[in-house]
Parts: sequence; C-alpha cells; structure tokens
Amino acid sequence: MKNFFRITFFLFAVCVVSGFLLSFFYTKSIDRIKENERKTKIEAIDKIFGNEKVLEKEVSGKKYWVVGDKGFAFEAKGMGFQDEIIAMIGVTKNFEIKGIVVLKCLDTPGLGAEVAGDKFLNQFKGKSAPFEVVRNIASGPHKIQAVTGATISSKAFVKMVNSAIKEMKKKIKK
Amino acid sequence: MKNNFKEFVKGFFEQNPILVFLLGLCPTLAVTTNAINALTMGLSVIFVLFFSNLIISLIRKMVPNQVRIASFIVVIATFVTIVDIFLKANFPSLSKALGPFIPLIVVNCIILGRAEAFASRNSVFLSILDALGMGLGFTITLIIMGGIREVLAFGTFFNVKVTPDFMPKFLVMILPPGAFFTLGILVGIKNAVSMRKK
Repeated sequence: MKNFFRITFFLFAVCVVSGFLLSFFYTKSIDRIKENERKTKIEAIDKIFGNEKVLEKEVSGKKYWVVGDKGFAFEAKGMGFQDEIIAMIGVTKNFEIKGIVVLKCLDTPGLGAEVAGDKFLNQFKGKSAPFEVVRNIASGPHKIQAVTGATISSKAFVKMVNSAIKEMKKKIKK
Repeated sequence: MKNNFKEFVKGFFEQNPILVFLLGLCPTLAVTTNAINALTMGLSVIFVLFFSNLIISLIRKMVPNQVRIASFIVVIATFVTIVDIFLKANFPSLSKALGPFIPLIVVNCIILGRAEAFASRNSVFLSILDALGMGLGFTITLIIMGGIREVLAFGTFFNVKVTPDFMPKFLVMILPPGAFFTLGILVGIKNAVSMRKK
C-alpha cells in the first residue's frame, strides 16, 4: 500500500512539473506563433494583389480579407496526398481567380509538391470555378492540366479550390 | 578521462544509433529529403536527448521502478513540446516543412533507449556526454543522408547548387525508395569498414 502512494505521488509530481514548464513556454510563445501565422497570410495576399490595403473580415464564422477595391482573399483547406494542403486564394469581385499561394503542402517533393509551383498555379489565373483536371494540355475556360506524376495531388488541390470558392460565394452573397 | 571520451565518441561510429542500432528510422527515412531538414531534426533530437538524459539521470534514484517508463515518457514529451513550440515561434517555415515529425520525436526510440539503457544507470556527467555523442552521431548521419539525397535529386546542398548542369536529377532519391537505398548503402559501408578494422 505504501508503494501505491509512492508511485501515484511520483507520477503526479512529474506531470505537475511538466505541466508548469509547458504552460510557461506556451504563454511566452503564443503571441509570436499567432503573429507568424498572420504574417504569412498577409504576405501571401500581398503576393497575389501587390501591396494593397488589406482588411480582415468575418462572415458566418469564416475569415476573409478584403483587398482595396480589387477583390478579396480567403483560405482553402483540403486533404492532399499526404497531409492537409492550405492555400490562400485571391479572387476579383466576380470570383475570377487573381492568384493562388500555397501556405502549406507536405506532398512528395518533386512530384505532388509541384502543385505549389508557379507552372501549375498560373493556370488558374483569370479563370473561374468550377475547375476540372485534365491529363493532357488544358483547353477551355475551366480546365487545369494536372502535374505529371501527381494526379492525386492535382485532383485534391482542384477539388479544394472548387469547394472553397463555392462556400465563399454562398457566404458573401448573404 | 579516457573513459569519458569513449562515452562521447561511441555514438559517432561504433554505436551509431542509426547505422548500428537501426533506431529512430522513422525520422531518418522521412525527413532526410534535404540537408536543412536533416540538420533541424538532428538539432532538435540533440536538445531533447540532452535534457531528457540530464533530468532522468538526476531523478534516477527517486523513480519507482514500476512507473519508470511512464515518467521517462512524460519528461521526454515535455522537452519535445518545448522544441515544437520554439520552432513554431521562431522558425515557422522549418516547422512547417518538418510537420508532424517534430512531435513524433517523443516516440523516437533513440531517446527512450538512451534514457532506459544509459541515463537511468549512470551519473549525470556521463549521461550528458552520452546524450551529446549519440545526438551528434544521429545528426551527422542524418545530414549525410539528407546531403546525398538532396545532391542526387536536386543538385543542391543546403540549397546551394553544387552539381554541373549536365548532371541528371534522380527524382527517386527524394521518394521513400531513395531513403532506403541511401540508408542501406550507408549501413553497408559502416559494416564493411568495421569488418576491415577487425
């Protein structure tokens, strides 16, 4: 019985100390982490629109950014080949794509990761949703050519863009 | 003194955690797609290994035997989370590139292995030497692997171009098979060298 208390007390003590340490480091860094996240988003928006005044807004629980009178930007999330892909989508007021910047993508370097490359992303510019993935050279206003050897990543990416735009259209019209 | 030195250098070659014990293969295979990721991973492991060995050898006489592993894991997890928070706050792009593999250091067998096999039985000073030696051995091996894969696949080393233009790029080297090729060849070289020494 004595041993029982000793074991319980020891594990309890270890966990308490660890909890204190972690909350100390967390409170020290959380502002910085949030600031970093905000900065990468604003940088992405600047990259799409150039340096414009950016205003953060929220509509039914979803954040979006109004960029001057040029249009707006919002985030899209979707499952890629290995992990979640997060991208910033910039559109004009008529929901024509102005540019897309990938914020997070852990797909295979050299293959799937190419969906974050300019060659793939530039295809979206000036077109409007819904997009469709094709294997050979894309012809037509809604067609996007897949990255060679990465059909799954390309399809996942396009699906993500489509659903994000659809959701945003609905919410902003309200 | 000679003995202390031996505890330090054993991790480099003779008891290299990757090439001899084949421990910690998950990060070894997954994050060595380029040299920078490998270096970050290695440094994170050195940090965690250093503090977990330090704390564990400090408390080794107090820990009840039945909850030994449980307490070690809590100690290790604490330091891993600190590294994770630190990277997120100061090196967001590296933290993104390494993704889930930083939190996964918790289950890296090298760290629990050193805690259980060494730090829980030896003095604080020796445990620190052991942690630094093992950590450096791990890091060096990771950088060699990351370097080989990066040079062959992208023609760069730490993002600096090193190969001439006519050199073909072997994309397979950054895919999982490339990781196994590199690891296999390195283990083979290590064994060949050890055998010759005997």
